[in-house]
Amino acid sequence: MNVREIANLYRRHTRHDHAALPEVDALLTLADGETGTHDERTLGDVGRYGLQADLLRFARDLAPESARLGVHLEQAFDQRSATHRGDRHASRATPRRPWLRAAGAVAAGLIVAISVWTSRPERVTPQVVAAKATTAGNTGDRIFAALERKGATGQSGDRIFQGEFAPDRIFSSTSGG
Amino acid sequence: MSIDPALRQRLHQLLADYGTKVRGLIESHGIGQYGIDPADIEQEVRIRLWKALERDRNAAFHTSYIQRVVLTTVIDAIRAANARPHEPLPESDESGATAFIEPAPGPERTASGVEDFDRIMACMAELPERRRKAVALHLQGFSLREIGQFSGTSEEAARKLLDRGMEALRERLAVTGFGEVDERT
Repeated sequence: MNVREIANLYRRHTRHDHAALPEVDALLTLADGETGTHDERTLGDVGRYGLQADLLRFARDLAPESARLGVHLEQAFDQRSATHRGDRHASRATPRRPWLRAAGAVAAGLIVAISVWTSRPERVTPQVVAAKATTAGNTGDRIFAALERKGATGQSGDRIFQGEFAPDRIFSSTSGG
Repeated sequence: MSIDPALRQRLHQLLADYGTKVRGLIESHGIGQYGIDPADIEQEVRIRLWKALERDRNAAFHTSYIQRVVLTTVIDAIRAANARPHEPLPESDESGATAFIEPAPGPERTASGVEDFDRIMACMAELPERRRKAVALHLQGFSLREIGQFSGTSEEAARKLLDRGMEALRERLAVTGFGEVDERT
């Protein structure tokens, strides 16, 4: 008898001699080639029982296909998510009615301008309030008051209004020539 | 988790392809001889993986998780098959025709085959544990590389363990009257 015949005999008789089914985790640990705490017992059972040896071989050959499936599943979910995101971006980027978009922009600008105007900070201190109260009665219209002061003092005020209005040169030259 | 129809169809296709491969592996490894139906396993694996995807899709992406689902399914099926009462063999009909043609008993099916096996087991039991494990794994058909990987040693160390173990086994078998064991495999 040679070693091959001994191996055949051994496998034939150990195939249906399984006292206990293997623990899945222990079998996977062995299949991955990792050493764990209960590997020795599982390893002994794999050598002793044909079923466990067959399952270990099966688990090892299952690994590449399982890894491939995991990658494919992940890709399927990722691709689907990317498609959904693309759809959302596209719907946001493409205006359905350009005139509506322009009108919306104008309205938004108006709202911003009004809100800025109405929310200007106004510092109201007690001194300001008191000054307003004392001057409210005798200042009157500041424009006319300034004209009156100008006439009284003879000081030069606004150069534009104080400037002598020279006659129009164009018309004077034509009339003079 | 809601899965839209297009994605659902793609996932079902992936699981179907994987199930077919699992079935092929079960058949090629002879797991069917332990009383399970590869087609049933294929179907059950697809159902369990689909439920896992619905429950927690991230977990279902891991290789070890997928392997665990398949192995658990197979072992559950073997356990159920072992628990089932064996169907009695049909008896010969009244005409006396033989229902089955018994294969001619080969040397491994005879009583001497059992005796030889018992002798081998007795001799292996006398080996040191590490050598015994290396010999047992070798007889189960694992390569030196696999034996080294399972034992946490190098391939060279596994070879030394196996050589010494096989040598000791041959010597013991010769002593018990087993006859000479040819080293050829």
